[in-house]
Amino acid sequence: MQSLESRYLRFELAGQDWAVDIAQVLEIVPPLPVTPVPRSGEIVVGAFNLRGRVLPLLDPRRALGLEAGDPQDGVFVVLTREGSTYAVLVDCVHDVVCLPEESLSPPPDLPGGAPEVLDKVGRDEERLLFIVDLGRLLAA
Amino acid sequence: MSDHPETTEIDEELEELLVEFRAEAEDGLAEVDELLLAASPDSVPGLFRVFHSLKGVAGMLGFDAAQAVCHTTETELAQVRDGEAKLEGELLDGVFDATSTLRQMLAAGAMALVTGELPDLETQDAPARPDAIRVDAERVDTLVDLIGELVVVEAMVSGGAGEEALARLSKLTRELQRTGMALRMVPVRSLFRRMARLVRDLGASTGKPVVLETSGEHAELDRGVVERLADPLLHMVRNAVDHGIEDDRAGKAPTGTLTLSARSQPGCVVVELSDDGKGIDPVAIRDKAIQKGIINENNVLTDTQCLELVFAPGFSTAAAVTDLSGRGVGMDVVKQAVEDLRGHIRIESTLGAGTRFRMVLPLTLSIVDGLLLRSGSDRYVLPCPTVRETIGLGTHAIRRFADGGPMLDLRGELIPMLRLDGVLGRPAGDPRLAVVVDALEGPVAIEVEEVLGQQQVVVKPLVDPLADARLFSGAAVLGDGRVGLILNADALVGAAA
Repeated sequence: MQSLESRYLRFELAGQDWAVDIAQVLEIVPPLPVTPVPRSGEIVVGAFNLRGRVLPLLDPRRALGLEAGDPQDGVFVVLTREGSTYAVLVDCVHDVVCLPEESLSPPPDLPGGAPEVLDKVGRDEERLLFIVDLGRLLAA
Repeated sequence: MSDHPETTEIDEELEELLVEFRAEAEDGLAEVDELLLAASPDSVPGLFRVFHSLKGVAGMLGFDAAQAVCHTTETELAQVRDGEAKLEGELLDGVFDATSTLRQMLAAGAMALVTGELPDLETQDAPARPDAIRVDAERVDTLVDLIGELVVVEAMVSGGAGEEALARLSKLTRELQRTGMALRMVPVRSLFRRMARLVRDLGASTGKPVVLETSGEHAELDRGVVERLADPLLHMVRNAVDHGIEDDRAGKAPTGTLTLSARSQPGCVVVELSDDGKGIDPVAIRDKAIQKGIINENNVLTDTQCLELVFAPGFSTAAAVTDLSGRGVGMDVVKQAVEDLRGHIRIESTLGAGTRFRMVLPLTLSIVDGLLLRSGSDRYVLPCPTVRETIGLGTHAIRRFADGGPMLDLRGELIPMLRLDGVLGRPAGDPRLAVVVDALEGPVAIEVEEVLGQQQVVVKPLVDPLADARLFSGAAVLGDGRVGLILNADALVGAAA
């Protein structure tokens, strides 16, 4: 039996494949106008209006040590985790992949340490998938 | 598996009965509150009926202690009904005590209703209440009807039907907004009842005969406004009983009267609290303010301005510190609380005849009248109630002092200036206007490039991690669907310092 927990949304960020637990994903929306919020955290791009709700848009690139992306040139993935709802900016989304538990392993030891948001590494056929826990962006 | 299956079963059974009794008792006690507000001979049959029927239910369910309380009260009320006693003094106190005892028992649980043993209230944690609201079924039905209508209009729009569909849609949008807002509205009745109880308690503890008359209990406000109004109102009622109503009621009815009223007006509700006490002497207030260093002797003030000094921080009119209002909380806290609700408060007083406080409160916290500003490519909203005026830069002199930032010379008043782009760290062109705003620590002139206009905006909370951005009190969805941030003038001043 397939459990929801083993399904991941695969998306692209800076030419690289990443994945996020689909249970955290609320919806995927095309880019909307974003208002910058001065003096908020470094990873915060700004706030946008999603059907009357004002949500923060976060840029995971900034947490992964990559150059900031352009909010109008990507896709917003709306996530919910532990009661907070927010969106992250990604380049594009691909598909939903099922990964059995045994194909997952803890993040590798990288020189200089793995990025904080990297949760697990999955292997899908011959492809390596970096599974991120984007909730940790909030703590970053 | 429990070790004591029998006990568990009894507990469960008791809890089920409690739910049943609670529903009955809460309705009954609410009715008692209403009847006690009037406390006239006409209330007696109603009071008797409620306690009689509660006694019956409590007895049937085996809630012995609750039954005993109801029985005692019923017996007393029967004496009144038969003309052997009057609904006043100790007897009336007894009825009040009975209702509060029953409420405590209900809150404490089934065992308390049986044994009458109440847990120590001091040590008991308040039970966690989920953030739920009671809504009229009728209002929910209206909402569902409107949403049904929305589906119809959507079909019309997607079918390409032009103007008629748009007209229906715009009407529907307004209706939906109104109905949605109404879901959060509650009448001020329960708040007024609390005040009636307080006045009774205060009358008993001070020995001053005093009554509260209420009107307009049906006026509705946002639930959040009503909740946050409770503390300031409690304080004002205490003040009125303590300082307003005189000990010696020379030439007046021996019983002091407080009047609490509410009335709905377009976009706001006016709540007034007045007393028929000794009134406030503006000269005495002025002397005291001079003595406290709030104003100096050269200040020329009208009587109204003198009275307004009671709202100044550090001012208290009490000659002696009493148990009632000498708690170090003054009218400045009341004023602040009302202004936090985006309302305002005024005082009127006639020496020898009484004092009246008038509060004008917005219907809801979720809509604010805002001034839309532009700074660079950003737009911000400044809540109108805090805005004094907008002036063109260059029309007034700007003074610079060696030990501080520039000050705007506004008709002789020096007001510190603050550049929005500087405080926010956002690029912007040269400011052309200054918006003078009343912040907590005094007025401040905020320099902006342009004022785009004034509009009503719906306030949305900023969620994590935006909530860290203290400079903003919320966000608004502007006319074009984009988000505009609502500036918090107090925080801006703090950040600029």
